[in-house]
Amino acid sequence: MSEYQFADYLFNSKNGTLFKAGKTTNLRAKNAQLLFLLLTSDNQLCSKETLYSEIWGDIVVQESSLSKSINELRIILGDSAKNPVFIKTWPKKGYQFLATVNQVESKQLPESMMKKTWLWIFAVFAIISGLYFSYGIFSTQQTVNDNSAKDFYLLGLDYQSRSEDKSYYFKALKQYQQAVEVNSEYANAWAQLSIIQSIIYSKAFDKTDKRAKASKRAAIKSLELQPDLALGHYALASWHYLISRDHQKALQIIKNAEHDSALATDVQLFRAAILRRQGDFDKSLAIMNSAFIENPRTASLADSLAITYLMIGQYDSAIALLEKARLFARERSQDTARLDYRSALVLYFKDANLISLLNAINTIVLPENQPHILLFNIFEPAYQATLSAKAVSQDHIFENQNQVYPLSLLQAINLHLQDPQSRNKKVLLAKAETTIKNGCKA
Amino acid sequence: MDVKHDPRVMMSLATVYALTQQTKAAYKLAQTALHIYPRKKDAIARMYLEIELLQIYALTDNNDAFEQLRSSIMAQPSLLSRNWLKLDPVWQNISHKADK
Repeated sequence: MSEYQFADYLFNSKNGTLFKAGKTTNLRAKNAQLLFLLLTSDNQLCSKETLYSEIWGDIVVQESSLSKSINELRIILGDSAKNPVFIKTWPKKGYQFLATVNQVESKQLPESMMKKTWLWIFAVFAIISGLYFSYGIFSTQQTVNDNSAKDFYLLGLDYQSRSEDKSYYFKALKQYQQAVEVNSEYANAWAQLSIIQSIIYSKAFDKTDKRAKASKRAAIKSLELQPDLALGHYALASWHYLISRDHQKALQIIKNAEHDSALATDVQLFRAAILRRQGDFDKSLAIMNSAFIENPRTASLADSLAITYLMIGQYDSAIALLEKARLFARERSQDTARLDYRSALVLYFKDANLISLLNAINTIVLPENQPHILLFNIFEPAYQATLSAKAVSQDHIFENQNQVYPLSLLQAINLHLQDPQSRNKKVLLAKAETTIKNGCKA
Repeated sequence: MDVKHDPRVMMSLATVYALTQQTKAAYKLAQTALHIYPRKKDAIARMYLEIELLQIYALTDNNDAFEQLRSSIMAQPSLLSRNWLKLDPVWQNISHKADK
C-alpha cells in the first residue's frame, strides 16, 4: 500500500505523485518524502530532528531546508501557515499533519484515475529526452508480457530521471534488477541495468571491477536477447565511453543505435559529449545546439550546452541556458541541486561572485564528490561542514571522473597556504601519501 | 586507487611530493600522468590534470613553468578563469608575481 488519501487529495508515495481533481503534481523527491512522513505520523507532532534525520540522513543542511520544503508543500496543497488546514507549525518543535489520512489499496483506485496516472507518466517520459529515458516506453519491438517487470522498469526510469543524487541511481538500479529478475528476457531492462551501472561507476559511487563487469554483462545480455535493440547498443557504447574510456570504440558502437528515431537525441548528445572529450568543442556545440532546437525544453540538453559554453568562456550563454535548465527541471519536479550549484559556479567564474558560490555550497545538498575539488581552498568551510556530520574517523577520498584527492591532502594544501612551516601540514601529507598508496585503507 | 596507471591518482601523489619538497619527483610523476591523457584522447580529463599541474607549479613557486602552462590552459576551452586565478588563495601569490 503506497497511496494515501486526505481531503480531496490522493498521494502515491511510491512515485511521489499527488492527485487532485484530475490534476497530477509530481513532487520533488524531498517534498514527497516529507509529505509521506507527515501523512504516516498519525496526526502526531513530527519533530524537526526526526524529519531532518529521515529526509537528509547524515548530510548537513541548512536550518532553512526543512522550512523551505514545508513552504513548497503548503503552496502545492494551497495551505496557509497562519490558518493551516493540513500542516501546522509547532515553533521550534516541528510540524503536525492535521487532516484525516486514509491509506488506500492500489486496486481500490478508480480505474480512470489509474489510467490518468500512467498517461501522465508516459507524457513525462515522452518529453524527457535528456538521456535515453524515453526510449524503453515507446519501443514497439520489445514485447513484455510480464506487467510487474514493466512496472519495475518504469519506476527505474522514473528514479533515474528525478535526481542526480547517488541514492536515486541506486534506487533505479534496484528496480532494473528486479525487472530482469521477474522477466529475464526483458532486453530493454538489461540495457538500462547496464547504463545505470556505467553511470554509477563513472560517478565513482561504486568504482569496482565487479560493477564494471556487471555493466558490460548486462549490455551484452540485452544484445543477445535482441541483437538489433538500439538501447542495447547504446548501453554497450556507454560502457566503452564511461568505463573503458575508449572513445573511438564508443563512437563506432553508437552507430548501431542510429536506426531508432526514439533515441535520436540521445545518440546526438552522446556524440557531442565524446567530441567535447576529444577537444572538438565547435562540432560538439553545433550538434548540441541542433538537438536543443529540436528539443527546446530538455533540462539535460540545456545543461550540457551550458557546460560547453562555460568551458569556452561564454558565461552569459551558460547562465541563460542554466536558467532554462532549472526551469525545465522544476517543471518536471526534477532535482535542481546540481544545476543551482553550476549556476553559482558560472557566476563565480564570470563576476567573481564568491558569495553566490558559497551560498550555493552551503544551501544546496550536494553529493560529496560533486563540487570541484580544486576549488577546495575557496569553500573549505562548506566541505568541512559536510564531513563533520560523517564523523570521519579515517581519511576520506573525494573522487569523481576527473579527480581523486584525499581530504588530508586538501587540508594540507590549505594549511600550507596559511603557514608553509606548519607541523600539522607534514602530518597530513604523510597521511595523504599513505591514503593514496593504500586506497581508502589508511 | 591505482598509483601506477590512474593519472588522477598520480597527480594527487605528485601534489604530495610538491608539498614535501620532492619537486623533481613531483614534476616527473605529473608529466607521466599528463602523458597518459594527451589532449586528443580526453580533452576534459587533460584539462583537469593540467590545472592540477598548474597548482603544483604554484605550490613549488615555479614562476616560469606556471606562466607558460597558465597561458597554454587559458588559450584552450577550460574551466580556469581569470576570476578563479584572482580569488583562489592557491594561485594568488604566484599569479601576483607573474603580473609583476
